[in-house]
Amino acid sequence: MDIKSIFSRLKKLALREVEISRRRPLYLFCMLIAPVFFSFMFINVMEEGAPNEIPAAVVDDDDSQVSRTLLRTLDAMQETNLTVKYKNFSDAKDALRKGEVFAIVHVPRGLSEKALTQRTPTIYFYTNDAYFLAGSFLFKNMKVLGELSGLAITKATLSAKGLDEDRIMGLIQPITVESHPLNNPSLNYSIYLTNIFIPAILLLIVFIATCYSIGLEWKRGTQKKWFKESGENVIIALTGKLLPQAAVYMLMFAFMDVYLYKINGFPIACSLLRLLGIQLLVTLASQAFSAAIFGILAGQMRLAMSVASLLGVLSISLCGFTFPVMAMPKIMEAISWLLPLRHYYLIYVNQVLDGYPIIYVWKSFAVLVAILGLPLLFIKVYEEAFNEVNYKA
Amino acid sequence: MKILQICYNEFKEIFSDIGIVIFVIILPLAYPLLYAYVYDNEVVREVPVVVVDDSQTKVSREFLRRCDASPDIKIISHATGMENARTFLESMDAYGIIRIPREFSDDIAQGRQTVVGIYCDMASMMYYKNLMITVAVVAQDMNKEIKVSKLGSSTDREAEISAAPVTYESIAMYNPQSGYSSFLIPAVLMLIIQQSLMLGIGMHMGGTREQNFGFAIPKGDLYRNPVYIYLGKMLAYFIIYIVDATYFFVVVNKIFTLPQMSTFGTYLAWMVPYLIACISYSILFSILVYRREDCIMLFVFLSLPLIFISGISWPISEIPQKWLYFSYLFPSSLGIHAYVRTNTMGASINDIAFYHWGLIIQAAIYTILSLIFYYWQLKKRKIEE
Repeated sequence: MDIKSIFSRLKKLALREVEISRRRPLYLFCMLIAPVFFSFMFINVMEEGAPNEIPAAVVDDDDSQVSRTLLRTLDAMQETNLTVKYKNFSDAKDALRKGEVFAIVHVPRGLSEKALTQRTPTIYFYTNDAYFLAGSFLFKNMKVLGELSGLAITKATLSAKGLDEDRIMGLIQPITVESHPLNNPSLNYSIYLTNIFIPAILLLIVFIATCYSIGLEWKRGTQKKWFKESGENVIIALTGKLLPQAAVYMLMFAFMDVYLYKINGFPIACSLLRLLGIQLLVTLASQAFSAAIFGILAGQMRLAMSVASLLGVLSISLCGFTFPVMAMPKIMEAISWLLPLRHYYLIYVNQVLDGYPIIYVWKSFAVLVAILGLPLLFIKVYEEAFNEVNYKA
Repeated sequence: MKILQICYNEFKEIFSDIGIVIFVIILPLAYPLLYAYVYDNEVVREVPVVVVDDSQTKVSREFLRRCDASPDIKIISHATGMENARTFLESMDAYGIIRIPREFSDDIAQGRQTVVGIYCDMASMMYYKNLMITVAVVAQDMNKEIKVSKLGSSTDREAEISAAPVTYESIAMYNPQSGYSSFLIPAVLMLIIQQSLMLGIGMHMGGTREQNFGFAIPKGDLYRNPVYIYLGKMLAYFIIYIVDATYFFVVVNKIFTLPQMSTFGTYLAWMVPYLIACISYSILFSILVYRREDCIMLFVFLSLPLIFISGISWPISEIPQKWLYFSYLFPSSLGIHAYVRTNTMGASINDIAFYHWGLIIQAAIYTILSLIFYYWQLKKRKIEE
């Protein structure tokens, strides 16, 4: 086959594919409407970036000037909302259990008295860690408050004795820690989550839709026709079918990129064009991966879709952006190497988040390119399937 | 009697279709185990970091030794400078840098404040959390010792008295280890119930439609009354899922030592409306399924947005009102909280009245809508006939 006839076949198959998807509102919903809707949802829900109104309860059994000063300090912190005051601890604990508050600050009776007579009083902080994120945020605040409360009391007495600010701080807090969260200084959760969530949903759809659209040919009994139009060439058949879909996915990625980085001003350390190039590679790799799954399970559409779903959903955990891969069992770490989303995440961190030299993620690029070639291993299986296997439920 | 007959037919269809069996039995059995295995370690340990020690003194070495001794981070190398340290982050060999300034020991000796810098890659919040907490705790401990040694030598007893600090104690309630799986698995379990029902019932519907020229209800005298059809189908799936739900409660929690504060009675009290809500909701949305495989295409990818909008991770107090109302459309948003609050936090059924009643209302609404759907299908068929 010469180049010209390959192109004309590809064109014919592409037009055929457009025709098929035009008649399937399901396709359009999953490929176009859902990703746009969810992008909008994620951005809108996490508009504030950092949670700043998580309610915490206060039980001030001491009720002194010292305790009131402490609690004012905590209330002033951005992520805590100490609106709820309780008369006694058991009421506060009820509220914690009912989910009305996510933390309790308990100042026991006798705090100021003990503090002034060198008997080291203790303040208690309870955080609800059943809600991981809320618990973590409040824990951080409580830690800071714990530091501050000790300092506040000491500072007041020392400065009354005429020591200047620098001397006092050098005495009571010689070592301070300054943290620099690189490339996300405000610890913006939306930047952290949305950047991976939206591509993860899209790539999950790519996984499933690829198996679905290939399988549909067998289901409708059109696989022979499809094969014939490709000139009985598996690669041309698959390319002609999947390229128009890839174009749609790229449209979605372009939308996402503009929405996140242009409209919402998310930081991006590389050019948009380069990011689109990366997304193109990972989209094609995901299609190839899914086509290979279909090849392994030749002709069994439902099973192929189930396996694609399983791996697609698992990818979201195994890409390692919430819980790091290094803390997972070794087998899971190995599996993560096969998954396109894992490599998208690694490349995203290197290029988009940090803007580091691209050479450091060459392995991820190599794996993605290798995945592109995966369907080549199943040409024989496909050929047999085209000619023999009928649709199997 | 007709109801039981329909229920029996449903059972026959479910168990003769390996596709549905995978979704409603194998998936609920295996998925929790898979997830619990992935997050088996609960917490992240030994995050690799590099240090830049510009001070190179006894005190700075002691500071770093203590950081390294903590279980949360691991010092993998001493870099010659910040430039050099950065290359470790670039190659992802380390996720953070601890930098001790040149004047570290002098500052401390002369009673000035000194600043230790930490630089963290934000690829995962977990790295940041580990690094920040470790260094903060080490600094706090050493501060205490420095203070004691300085004030101890002072003859000024008053200064000593006034320096007595307020200590504090943090208690992580309901999840003492602050573990990841103790937080995530309960939510995943509840989502599995809803999603696998959508897949199973969706596939069942697709099959029925494929065999009945697009009709959602099989032919025959048995299938004439929408109430019977609904109850028969409901009963079949309810029986299967009450077994799945019991398995979650009895087996999954035990194997992976997840928190279990709820009694089985409390669990059932809200699980029954949750199952009815999920089954009816799945019947209703199976309207969209015309081919068996459509259900996978339509429903699988919803899992991620559903778990996000439930407010289990991004705190519910931070979700804008309109999205909160939107989330109440899905039984999982209520079921996840009902489960976490009763089982992880030990709330009683009265404590979760909002979610309990929410689920009952959802169950009622989706039941009515499903009945309307069946009624409409039967009418359509009559006209065709």
